[in-house]
Amino acid sequence: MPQVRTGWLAALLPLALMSMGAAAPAEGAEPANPWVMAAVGLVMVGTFVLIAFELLDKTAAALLGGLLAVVLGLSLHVYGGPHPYETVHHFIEHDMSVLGVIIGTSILVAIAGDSGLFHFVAVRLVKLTAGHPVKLLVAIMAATVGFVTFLTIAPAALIMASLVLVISKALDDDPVPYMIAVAIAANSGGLMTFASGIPTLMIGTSAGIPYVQFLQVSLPLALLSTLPAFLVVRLVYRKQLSAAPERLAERKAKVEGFDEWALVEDRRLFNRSALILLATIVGFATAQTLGVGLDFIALSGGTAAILFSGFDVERAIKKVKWPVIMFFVGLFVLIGTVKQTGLLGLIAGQIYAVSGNDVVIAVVLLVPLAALLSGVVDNIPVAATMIPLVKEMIAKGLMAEPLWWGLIAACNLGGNPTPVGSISAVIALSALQKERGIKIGWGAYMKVGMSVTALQVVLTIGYILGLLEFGLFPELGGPQ
Amino acid sequence: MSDIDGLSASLGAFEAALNAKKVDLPALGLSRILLALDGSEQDPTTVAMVCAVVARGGVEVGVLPEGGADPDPVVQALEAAGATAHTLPRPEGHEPFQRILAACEHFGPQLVALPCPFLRNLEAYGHQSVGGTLDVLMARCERALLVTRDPLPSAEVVTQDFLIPVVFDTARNPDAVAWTLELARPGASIRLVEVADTALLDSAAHLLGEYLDAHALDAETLERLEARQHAGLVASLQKAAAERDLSCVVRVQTGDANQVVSDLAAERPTLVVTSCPRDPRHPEFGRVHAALREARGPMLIV
Repeated sequence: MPQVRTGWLAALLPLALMSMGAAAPAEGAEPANPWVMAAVGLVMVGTFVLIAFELLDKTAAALLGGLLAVVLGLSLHVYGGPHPYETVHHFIEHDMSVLGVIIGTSILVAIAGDSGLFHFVAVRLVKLTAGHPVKLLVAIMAATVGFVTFLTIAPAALIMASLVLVISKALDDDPVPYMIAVAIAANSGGLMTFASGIPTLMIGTSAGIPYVQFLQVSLPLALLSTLPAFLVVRLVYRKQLSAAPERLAERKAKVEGFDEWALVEDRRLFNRSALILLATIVGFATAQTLGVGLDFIALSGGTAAILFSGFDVERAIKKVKWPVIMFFVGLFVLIGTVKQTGLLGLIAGQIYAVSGNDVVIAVVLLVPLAALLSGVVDNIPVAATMIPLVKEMIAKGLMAEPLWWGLIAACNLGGNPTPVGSISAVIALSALQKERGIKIGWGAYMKVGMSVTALQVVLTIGYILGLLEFGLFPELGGPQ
Repeated sequence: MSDIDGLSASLGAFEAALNAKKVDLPALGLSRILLALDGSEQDPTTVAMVCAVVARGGVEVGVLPEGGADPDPVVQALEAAGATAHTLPRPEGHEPFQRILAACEHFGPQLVALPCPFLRNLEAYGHQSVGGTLDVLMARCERALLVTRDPLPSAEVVTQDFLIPVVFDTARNPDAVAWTLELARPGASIRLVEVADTALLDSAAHLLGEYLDAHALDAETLERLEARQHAGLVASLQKAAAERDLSCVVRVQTGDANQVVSDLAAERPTLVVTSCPRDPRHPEFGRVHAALREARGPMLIV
């Protein structure tokens, strides 16, 4: 069973990290009670295993992990200060802006998605391809990356997966290559802007990366990373992506018959959604200048969407991904408690020691490690765990920018190797199985996924080291 | 919450776009209206509605007075509103519907406006009957019928707010849309509602029994099928609405068709525009007839 394979890997890797930390405390680190670290660390490992094996719903697993961490944290005196329990509140307060962004963008994205705007754009793009299979592949990948930029991964993947299902049926194509392309391209889309992916948001917020810097650093990498994805899919599925010349005219005629106006349910909502989305993107870019947080911009966008769309308020609020919010709450408390024990500091110390204070080696270690972990465990807990690790490494003197950008890229692109590594793959493959009865096996997926990830990891390391070499990293503003 | 919640709706949207068969909307060019008056309390509303329609200019109105109605002030009001208006000579026929049909033959209007019930005040029948004249006109008059029911707070609704139920006489839905576009002024609001009629489904289930898989026909699936069927019409309407600066909202609902239409019509003053087969034996005729009987606002039957 594939889940067993990755589940055990998910358990072993954190244990390996912990054993590194326990075996040789890093130079200069404060010694911590190893039993306390082990106990809390085991709760973390257990939570990751529950998530990776899908033994429990991941929100329930994260909440359970958080609760157990609090019990241990209080009983083993992990939390300091006159009011130890308040430390738990601080864990959540610290990342309130992430929760605010998720709430605001959930509402905005749901309303914009319902307006038919993205479906309209998708059909328009398909018509431009005249039905040519390779052009269709390019259009689908481009649309996926673009939609993720505005909608985040899950809603964009759902729209694109449904497009692939319908288009492939209409053109009598094999949906598999297009569906895999959607799953993989979506993770590149998560790199495009600050709010395009949750790991990106978490890491960017912790690192204090100004929004505009994303356009300077992450956006080119996002676009570049789609190239290996396109090339691998094109190569592996070259037979399925070819069409006899005599069929091209027939395909073109079919595609030209598509009418995107049939998708428009409310043109006014359509136009307003587009305006509010654009205004929100501009707001994200100018938030720092305005002296407000991204959560304020996101909640403003969500509020504007409710006010001007005519959407029922209760229905809009129900669109908020509350399971994701609660997942985060549990995770923040769990990781925060683990950090309090000093375990993450020890692990960071080990990585730092191995790197020999050389940021190039640190990047070469960090990027594949984070990518590997993201491929087997949900990339959100990986990001949540690695953020304090990276902070510790920076505190020890390593240059911040390469580490943060490396982590952002790895947590997004690392979801590509396996069919369970990212939500986009889960959505795409589930949709394919449900609607067409086609199951993409692990072997078939990993043939593409692993190849793409390997290329993307090399590309990412090269990109980051290139920026480092030529001094092209914009300076970070500091944590928010 | 499943990861693929919302997949069905998204699939339905794309299926609609990819399967939309082009629907040509007939160009109407409204130039003549027959206004039949009956001296009832509904006359002022009927006259006001026609005045609102003719305000755009270029329309000739023939006034046919019945039941002692005085046509002269009506002609003056119509001319003040921008129409060319005159009183029609009384045609042959014992029954009002015969005279209206004869006037249509001679005058050649595209639209007949009249109150309902005809030659009665509304409270005479309430909403239990549309009266004999409308019964027959619905079956025999090939022209569009603009029918007044309850008084309106503002007659402008006939050019400003439209509800098109796409459930009755589906083959002639393009005519209903074409009429809406003909009457709508810039800035007008159109609601097109596609109803997956559960009453029909219940009948089918009763007939087909175990052969009808109820699980495969849940509300979401029905709405998806409904949207797909009318995709071409929606596309044509939305394009035309965009060109003419009209607000157009499309809804897909499951339920009892008449109840859905009635509830939506009750939300705000609106003109319900529906096509109707001119054959009383057609099942859709009965449904439109029932809708007219229960209507609290004006209806345009095309």
